[in-house]
Formats: sequence, structure tokens, C-alpha cells
Amino acid sequence: MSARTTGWLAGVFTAALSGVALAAADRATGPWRVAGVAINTVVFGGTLGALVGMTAARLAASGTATDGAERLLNLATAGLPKDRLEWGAAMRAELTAIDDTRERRRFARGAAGVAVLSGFGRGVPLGLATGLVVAIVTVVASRAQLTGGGPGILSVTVPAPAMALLAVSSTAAWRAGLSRAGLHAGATAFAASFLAVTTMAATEGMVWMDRLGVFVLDADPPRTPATVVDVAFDLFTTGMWVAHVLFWLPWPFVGAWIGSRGAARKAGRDTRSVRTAG
Amino acid sequence: MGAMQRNRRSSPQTAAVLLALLDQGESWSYGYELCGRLGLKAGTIYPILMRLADRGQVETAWEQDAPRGRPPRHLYRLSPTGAALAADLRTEPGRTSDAPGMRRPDMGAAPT
Repeated sequence: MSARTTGWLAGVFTAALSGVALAAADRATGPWRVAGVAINTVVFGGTLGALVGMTAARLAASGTATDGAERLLNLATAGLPKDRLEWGAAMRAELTAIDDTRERRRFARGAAGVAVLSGFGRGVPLGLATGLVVAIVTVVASRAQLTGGGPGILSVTVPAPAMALLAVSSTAAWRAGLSRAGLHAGATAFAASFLAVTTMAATEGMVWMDRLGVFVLDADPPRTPATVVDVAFDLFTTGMWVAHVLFWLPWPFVGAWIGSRGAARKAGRDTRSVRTAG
Repeated sequence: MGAMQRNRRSSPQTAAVLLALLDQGESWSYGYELCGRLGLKAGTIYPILMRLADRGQVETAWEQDAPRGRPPRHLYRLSPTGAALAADLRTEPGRTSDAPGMRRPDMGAAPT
């Protein structure tokens, strides 16, 4: 199977899986449900599928790799920061000296982990700050809707963090000139945002149920008397956490790609300017 | 922070790597060889080697006479600073270089 076919298959499978997950999490009924799921699958499942497909195609075509261990390590060490390039080459060279298949896999897994996490700490402050901002935005939106009326905080907790993830990952990638820097910041921001939304949905949910007798996510009243657990874990019992994850997931990748491309273009322009001035 | 050094106790794994390299003296070691000798995974050994190299405690070089068809491997040995640190560790009272699942530097055989 060619690398291109592998990429297409992986992409279509991911998009289809996203569609199934979105359909399972969608609460709407009738034609709106079909239309909503279809649009979301195309937009978000399609974006995610494209990213997975491109990665799969790149993995399948990674150089002259002889086995999965080498492919994994080649992919993990691609685009390392300058101060870690030598270490990526060192781990790849070391793998070529290992003959036993099991040992090769074991070594490649460990070394790939080191490569993937190399420089991870640099994106943590930005990622944590994003989580804090998402928490604040969620509370502000909740309180504004609590007094002014509104459809529930889902209208904020789904798109706002997604845009924050895009901004953070593109900024980090642009500053470092590396897509992996964007992915590192995006991964931390993703986790921090999820924790923020989970916590705020639980605490604000209590306030909404107490004052308005409805769930905070979509302002729907409970069909049966709601317990504290129902309110605190509404995000999970309704499956809406899946929708959050799927909506947010593409943006760190898109941001990392945009940021690194922007940095590469800027570096190209700067080089041309220097040549012209010279 | 400048030249300020943190007087922090090395982890058992870091100490084991330092002691294993001390045993090798002036000879160079490979990363995978250290993994086999100490019973540690690549995911543990390489971050330690990177950190020690960043601090100037480990010297690195590329293999000069690599066999045909194989890229040169990365080699490691202690710098004078690293050797002094490792020697201190060896004489440190109460120091045990053993962590769960780890072999003593002088016990494991190097992988072939």
C-alpha cells in the first residue's frame, strides 16, 4: 500500500469515527440533529482526519526506514530544536546497531518518548495561562447568562477554548520557529482548558441548578430530580466532553502548522533582505 | 543565576550513569550499552546523558570507524568535572545507586 493510500485511509477513518462520536454526543432531535452532525463532521472531523492522514502518510513514507521502530524514531526526532538535533541523530544511529526486533521496539519507544517531550517544559507556562483564561471566560459567560438569560455555556466552552488553542499554538510555534513548540504549548493548553471547563461546569452548574433549576451546559431542565452528582458530572454523563475534545483537537495542530510556516516565511524574507542589503 | 551551582543530590539513576562511566575511565560508552549495563530504558538514560552533557559533566563524540552501511554512533565519557563528581558520589556515605529494576554499574553485561 502506498504512503498516499495509507494517509487517505487513516484520514477517512478518523473523520468517520469523529462523525460517530459527534452523533452520539449530539442532543438535538429531528432534521437539526442530522444537519448539525453532518456539518460538524465535515468541518471538525474533516480537519482532524486531514491532520491524521497527513501524519500517517508521512509516517508511511518516512525515509528508508526498515521497520516500525525506525519509522517511529524518525518521526519522533523530525524537527527537533537545534540544541537537540545531535541527540536525535545519536538515538537514530544507536537504533541501527540493535538487531533484535523486540529490543529495537523497546529502544525506539523510549527514545521516541524522549524526543517528543524534548523542550516540552518551555510551552507549559503559556499552556497553563491559557487554562486560567478559559476558566475566567467560562465563569464570566456563565454569570452573564445567569442574569441576562442565555442558551447555556456550551456556546462559549466549545468555540472559545478552540480559538485560544489556535492562538497559543501558533504563537508558540512562530516564536520558536518549530511546529513541535506549538504542539507542546497546545497540548498543555488543551489539558489545562479541559480541566478549567470541567471544574467551572461543575461549580457553575451547582449555581445554575440552585437559582434557575436548569443545567448550565444547555439551560435544559432535568427530566427527573437532579442530584449533585448529575449536576457536577453533566459534561460526562451527557457525552458532551467528547464534543469538546473533538472540536478542540484540530486547533493545536493547525496553529502549530500556521505558526511554523509563518516563522519560516519570515526567516526567508529576512534572509532575502540581508542579501539585498549586501 | 550565572555560575551558581545547586547542591542537589543526584537521583539514583543519574548516580548509576555517572558511576558506570567512571568505571569506564577514558574509554567511550554507547547509549544502548549503558541501557543494558544498568538495566535502564532509553527513555531514562538519554535525558540523563543530555543533562550531564549540558552541564559539561559528560563529553560526547561521534564514532570514527563506523562499519560500512551504518551511521556513526554517539559516544560518551566523563569530563574531568564529571569524573570528580562521580568520584565524590562513590565515596558519599549512605549512597546506594540502586533504583527499582536497575542493575549495579559493575554487574550487568554490555549488550552485544
